Amino acid sequence: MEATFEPKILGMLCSWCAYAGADTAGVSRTQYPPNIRIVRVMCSGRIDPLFIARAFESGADGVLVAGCHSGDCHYISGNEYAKDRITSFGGMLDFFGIDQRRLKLAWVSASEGTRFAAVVAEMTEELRALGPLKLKVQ
Amino acid sequence: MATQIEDQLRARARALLAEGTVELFVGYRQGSNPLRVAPFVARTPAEAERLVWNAVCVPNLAGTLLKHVGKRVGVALKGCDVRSVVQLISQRQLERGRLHIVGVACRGMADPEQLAAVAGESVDDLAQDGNELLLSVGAELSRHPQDGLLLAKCATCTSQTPELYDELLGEAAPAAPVADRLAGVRALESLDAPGRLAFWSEQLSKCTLCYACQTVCPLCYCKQCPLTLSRDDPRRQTREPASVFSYHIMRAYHLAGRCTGCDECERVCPENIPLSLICRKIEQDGSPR
Amino acid sequence: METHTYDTLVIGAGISGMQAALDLADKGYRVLVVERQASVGGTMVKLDKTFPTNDCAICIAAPKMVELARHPNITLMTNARVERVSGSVGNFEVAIWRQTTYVNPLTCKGCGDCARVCPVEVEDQFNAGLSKRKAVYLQFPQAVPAVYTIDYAHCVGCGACDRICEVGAISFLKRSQALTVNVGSMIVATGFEVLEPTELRREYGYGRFPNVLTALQYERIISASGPTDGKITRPSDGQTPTRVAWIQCVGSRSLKGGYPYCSKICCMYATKEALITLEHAPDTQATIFYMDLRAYGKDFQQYYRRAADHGVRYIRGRPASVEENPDQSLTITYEDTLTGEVHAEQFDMLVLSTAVVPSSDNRRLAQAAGIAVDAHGFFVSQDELLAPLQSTREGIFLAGGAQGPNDIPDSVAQACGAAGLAAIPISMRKRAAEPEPLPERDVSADESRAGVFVCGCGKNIAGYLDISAVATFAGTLPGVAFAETCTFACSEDAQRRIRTAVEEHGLNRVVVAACSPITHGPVFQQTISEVGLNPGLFEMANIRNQCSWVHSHANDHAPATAKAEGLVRMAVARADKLRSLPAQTVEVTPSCLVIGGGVAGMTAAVTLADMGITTYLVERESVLGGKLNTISTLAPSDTPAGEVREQLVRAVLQRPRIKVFLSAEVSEVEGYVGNFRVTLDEGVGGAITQLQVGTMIVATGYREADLRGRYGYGDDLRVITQLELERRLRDGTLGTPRSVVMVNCAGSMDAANPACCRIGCTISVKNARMLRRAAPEAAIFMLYQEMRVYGKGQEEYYTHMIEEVQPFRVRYDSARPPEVRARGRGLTVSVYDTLLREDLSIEADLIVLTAALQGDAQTPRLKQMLKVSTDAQDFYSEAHAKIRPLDFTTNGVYLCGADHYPRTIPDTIAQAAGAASRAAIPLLRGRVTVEPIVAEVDPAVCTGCGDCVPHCPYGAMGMDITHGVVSIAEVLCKGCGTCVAACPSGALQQRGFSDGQVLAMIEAAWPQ
Repeated sequence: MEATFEPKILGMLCSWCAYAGADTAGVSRTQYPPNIRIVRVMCSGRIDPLFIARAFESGADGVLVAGCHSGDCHYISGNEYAKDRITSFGGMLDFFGIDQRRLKLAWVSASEGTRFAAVVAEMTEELRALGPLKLKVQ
Repeated sequence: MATQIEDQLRARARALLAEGTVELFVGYRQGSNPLRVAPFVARTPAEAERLVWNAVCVPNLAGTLLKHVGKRVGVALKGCDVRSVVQLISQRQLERGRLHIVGVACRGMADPEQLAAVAGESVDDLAQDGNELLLSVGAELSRHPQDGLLLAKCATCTSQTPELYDELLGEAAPAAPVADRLAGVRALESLDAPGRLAFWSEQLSKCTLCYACQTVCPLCYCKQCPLTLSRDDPRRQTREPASVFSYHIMRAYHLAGRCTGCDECERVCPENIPLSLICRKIEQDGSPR
Repeated sequence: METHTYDTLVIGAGISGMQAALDLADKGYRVLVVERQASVGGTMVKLDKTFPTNDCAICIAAPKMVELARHPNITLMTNARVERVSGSVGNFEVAIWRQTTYVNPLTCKGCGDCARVCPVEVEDQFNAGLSKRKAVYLQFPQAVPAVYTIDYAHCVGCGACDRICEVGAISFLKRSQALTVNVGSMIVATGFEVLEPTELRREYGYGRFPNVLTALQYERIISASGPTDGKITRPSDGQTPTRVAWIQCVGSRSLKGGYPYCSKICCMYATKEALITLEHAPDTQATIFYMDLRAYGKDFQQYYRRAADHGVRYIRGRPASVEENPDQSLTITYEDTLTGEVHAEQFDMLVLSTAVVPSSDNRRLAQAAGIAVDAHGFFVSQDELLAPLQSTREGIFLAGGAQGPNDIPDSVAQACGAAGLAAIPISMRKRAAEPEPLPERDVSADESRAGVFVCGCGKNIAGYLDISAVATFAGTLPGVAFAETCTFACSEDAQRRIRTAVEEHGLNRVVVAACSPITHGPVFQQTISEVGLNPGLFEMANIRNQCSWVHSHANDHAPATAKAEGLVRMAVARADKLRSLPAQTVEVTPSCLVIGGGVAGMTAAVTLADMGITTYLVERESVLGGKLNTISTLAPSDTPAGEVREQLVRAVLQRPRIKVFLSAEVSEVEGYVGNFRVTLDEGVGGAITQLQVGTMIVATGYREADLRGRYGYGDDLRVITQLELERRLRDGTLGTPRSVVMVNCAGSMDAANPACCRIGCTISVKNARMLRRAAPEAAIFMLYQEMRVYGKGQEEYYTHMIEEVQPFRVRYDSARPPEVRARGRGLTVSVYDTLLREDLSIEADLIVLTAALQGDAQTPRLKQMLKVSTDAQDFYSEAHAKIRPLDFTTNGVYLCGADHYPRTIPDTIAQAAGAASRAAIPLLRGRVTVEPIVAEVDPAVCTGCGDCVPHCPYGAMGMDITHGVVSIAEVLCKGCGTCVAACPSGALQQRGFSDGQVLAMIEAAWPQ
């Protein structure tokens, strides 16, 4: 039997809300699949689309960008910039035929451990269904 | 055979250089064959005599201007090049006050590839007569309507008259109705994601990461580029598809809001990758910032 | 018994107590915080979101909690209470009882093993009794300190927890302690409670019908970390309710079995809860039964309108009865007072917005501390009007819910104010010096030699993944010189081990694979700095919270082990790229400029001067006093404004540290926090003065909107504004009007300007009273939309006014506003009365407009100079609506008083003292610390395109025109990195989060 495909997800999380939310998931022992690797940045506004591009180059099948809910940003409006950039970059990915579900933008507060776990679980499932990211001519 | 515009241009360049209004005058000189021109910097009134203006003045001179920042520069620009210059001014890369722009009204440039194909053999001379191009091969002279031989980007151009200039050569004309610039983008977007992926996988499989597209781009003016891989990077050596995709997607992202649609990237691509589609996509979606 | 000495004691560690403690500790004073509960945080951390911005409460409170616990100048005592206070200001002896929790807070790792084995389940008070917890418990996941507590009242003493605890943190022999401390001043910030409406069970069924909840219980239900994980369900059957009702003023504004005052926050939190309910389930029908909708604060009215537009149904009326149906739904019988119709309507769930009541411990504490409480149990001020934060005992100050209902920003402002006042009696004391930086090894030229320490956290990590394998793997990674496991990396012996390893193996990077860098990063950074490594050379792999704990149900440990290895590989890759983070400070000019010489400005200046700070007070007019020069009297004490003015002006003039500039305006501001250069212009013929100040306070007040052309104003001299009425009352030029019509909300609360001016109702009530005294025979009409008398004592004042003045009250709607017409020699006001439901026509010989209020006319000019922002009405925008109400986002500039939003005199005074406290922090510290993880620009790479500049949320970026590159004011940079992501060339980098550092992690995420 063929082993199920285990997607690789890179998570880029802001320190104040999403990363803290991921910590909360741990404190509450909320379970999610072990497919994600997390990089902490101070603010989702720091996330350069280049990071996402390089993540795909490094083997990621999906990238999760998570920050504070609108209005909750510790740095006033960094998350709004993140939203604009990620949305715009997502449009580029789409234009090149890379499925939009491979780049997910989520807002997770420090208390939303359950939500964080659900986001990761859902994304893992979606990527399992999508299969690995292949960019070679078939 | 000099065109009327060419005569005027040389005269103006001479005068500007002679009176000291500008230190340099940027234009074109004849290239390696009659279908090629090359960017040229005239430094003396005498050198201005080497300036040419004909139906194949294709290269975007905005990039040349970036090499002479700080000097008072005169330049002959067609409408599309002026768009790039305006963008560079707004991004503080060029100083409006140091530029003397000789705008040239343009009815579209001919595509040298097509001309070569029409002529069949190497062309000995190119001349213009009204709306017709005159190609000489040996003693044979053939006439071709210019409109049928335009560069693809010229067919959808709305900048026949430059939007910015200090003086204008040729006659200002209202923008002509044009073909649908974004048709190609829409066609690609009408495919599903796997369809687009297949399209780009095939196109980008040709890419050698030579970065000519970046080198020629007047808006790729960064002093260093985090997107380019060094020569010894294994990803560049193996033309790793993910790295090729990554480069082109990021290039598109960085140019969004900067690209002015001169399509020089596509022109210089040695693999004929349809990079202008990316430029039209950016144009369609607008600036993200 | 040993007596410890502190500068200030703060009682209570909710948002007010935390803020007060931090404000004092940041000034260098040593603060003892005593909290009755096991964790700090108070009521705020129980809330889901906060109005009117819908900020997540724990997200904004948690950083303060962590800061409190970690502050070198703060000692935190939880499970403790104050027993007795003797002595006097400057030298209080305080007896404290510290209840044992049978858990050693120094060794407990917060792992929770004990709670899992504890056999006892009790009601979880944190979740308002809606769920169960164990007898050994952590109050909530973000609790600070993160230490378990044994609830001895419920503990059966089985010892299961003791047996399972790997670190032996539990000891049933640990005794409670009595101790005595000596402090110079005290702050009481004991918060509030909400009424458990058991006495109302007959009417509303609370405690009898399972689907009737208090608003605080509902808050836990909608909270993502609450008992239902944020799913809104009925307690009776777990079904999602589709019809939810709120009843307002349960126990408030009621003499019958309740409290006479307005609880101030309920209209807004009910609105918030209803909005969030609709967010969860848009089809829910949310209904709020109210008496007066008191959306009085900044942006409150807009928030309320938004809720109404989103479909929240507001019904004016106090329901008569609630009955339970067989399916446990509820039938509410009510009269809609706007239609006069009586309805009986069915709901699935009912939320009672119960009264804010004093903390149950207040009376005992009042006795112990020798301070007074009012009839309800709130602490009383020495002077409700002019010294709202001063208790009845000198040296003891009040903040937040301890003295009455308050929302979060008002509580924070009061806490800052109390901190400012509490700093005065101790101002002569020596403050804690800034810690000197430790000597550092320069490792910049050395090859990376990383040490990796893999923590098992007892079994918390080691129980779910193979830490030995992870350590062995780490040892194979490039740049790693040393790797080992440890049982508890944060224990003292492991820390020693890390220090030894750094020295023995010449390590120049340290990676700890353990829990979260948010909670534990600073601990290890401190450790390595003790052996000469810059804190920037530390990295953490979170293999507990984000690995072992979230994969703890898996039988196979291989995936979690592989993930942990991946996380360690990433951390090591990043460690290789780490560079020292220089700790930079900027010297500060120790003086403050206060702009505006009204109540707020004068109070701020006096508070600053009393803290020992040189203060410049600049006033545009030729006299100090601001609006006090116009106003006749002040509510609710009817004190003549002139008296208050004299008192404040005298206080200013008596203080040699205050230099007053009259008829002067700020004409230029340069520099930034610590070193502002300000130019004052005293106008034609006056001097131009240059000042050098470290901080600035803006207190420029408000103005009445220009109503010319509306309501007959400007056309007829008998139509005047409240301020004009004040002047006439004051000067005795009122004459003898026979019929006076007051029109509230003139130019506000309508489509064009939805704002509520906050103080208009109180002013109209007060002036109705003054009018009655000046014109005993006059008929007085009060036209209002909602009667928003929300402040302390105001509801009662309003009730008295009605009895004394006997006004004709007409409630109108903004859709049909009053119209003023000249008729013959008189004036006629026609208006539709929404309660009588008929058109009225009132003859008047004086019309008083309660005009919309706006920020000062000079605000647009000043805000440019100060680089701060305002809203559409020229009111200044604070840094954060909830927790930073007195700061601007621009560092070193603060605000107070009506330039932020109109407010009462006591609120203004509290805010002004608070702004003084905030502005004093950098001045007393003597230097400003630059964020170590700031953005930096490489001028050799920057093209000066300027794309990044508008992305900076703090205005820290600008163009260096000379060099054609971007420049960054590092003092202003907060280290978010937003600009860095906007730079296409990589010319901008964030220290500690450079492209290279982040990309190293990304490229190491999976084996290549």
